Amino acid sequence: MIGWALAAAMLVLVLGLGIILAFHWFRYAMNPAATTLALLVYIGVSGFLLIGMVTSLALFLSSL
Amino acid sequence: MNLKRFEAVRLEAEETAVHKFRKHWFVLLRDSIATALAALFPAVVLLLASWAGFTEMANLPASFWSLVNFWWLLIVWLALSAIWTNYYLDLWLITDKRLVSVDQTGLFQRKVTTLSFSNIQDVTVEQHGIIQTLLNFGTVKVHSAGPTGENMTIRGVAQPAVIRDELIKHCEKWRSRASAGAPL
Repeated sequence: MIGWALAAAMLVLVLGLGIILAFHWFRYAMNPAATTLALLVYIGVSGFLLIGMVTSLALFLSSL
Repeated sequence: MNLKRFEAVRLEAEETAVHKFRKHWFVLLRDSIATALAALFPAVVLLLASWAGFTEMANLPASFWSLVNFWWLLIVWLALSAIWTNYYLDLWLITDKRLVSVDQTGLFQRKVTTLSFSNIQDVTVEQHGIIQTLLNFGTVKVHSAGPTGENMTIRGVAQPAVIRDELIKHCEKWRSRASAGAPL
C-alpha cells in the first residue's frame, strides 16, 4: 500500500512539475522548437523512469 | 530575431534586438554536476552496506533496489529539469536602445531589468581563475548613471569582452543618433 502511494505521489510530482516547466518554457523561452524538444525529452525520460519504478514495485510486491 | 513568442520583453515599435546571450555552458555544468552525482547515492549505500557487513540490507531482493534506484533517479531527473529551466530562462538582450536582463531565480521568481543606453556610463569585464580564463567566460558589469546608481552585473557570461564591445558599440551608435537629433 505504501509502495503504491509513493508511486502515485511521484506521478503527481512529475505531472505537476511538468506542467509548471512547460508553462515557463512556452511562455518565456524564445525558441518554440527547442521548448517542444525539451518537453518531449522531459516526457520521455520521466515516462521511462516512472514505468521502471512501477514495474520494480510490482515485481517487489509479488516477491514478498 | 524572432521575439513574437518571447513574453518577457516587449520591444517598442521601432526597436530592434541586435544580440541575445545566455550564461556559459560551464555554469550549467557546475550547477548540475552535484545533482547528477547524487544519482549514484543508492549504489554507494548498497556498496557501503555490503562492505560494512550489513547482510540483511544487501540480501534484499534485486527488485527492491531497482525500485529505490528508479525512485531516486526520478527525483534527480526532476531536480536537473528545474536547474536547466533556470539556466535556459536566464537571458540578456541588447537592442538598439537598451540592455534587458531576464533573471529566472526560481520556478516562480523572475526579474526583468532594463537599462537604457542613455544611462550606461561604463562597461567592465572581470575574469577570475584558470577555468574562467581558459573557457573564456566571466562577469560583465554595466555601470549606470541613473538616479539609483545601480549597476547591472551579468555573471558567468560567455565571451564577456565581446559583450562589452557590443554594448559600447551600440551605446555609441545610440548617442550619435541622439546628438544628430534622430528619432530614438
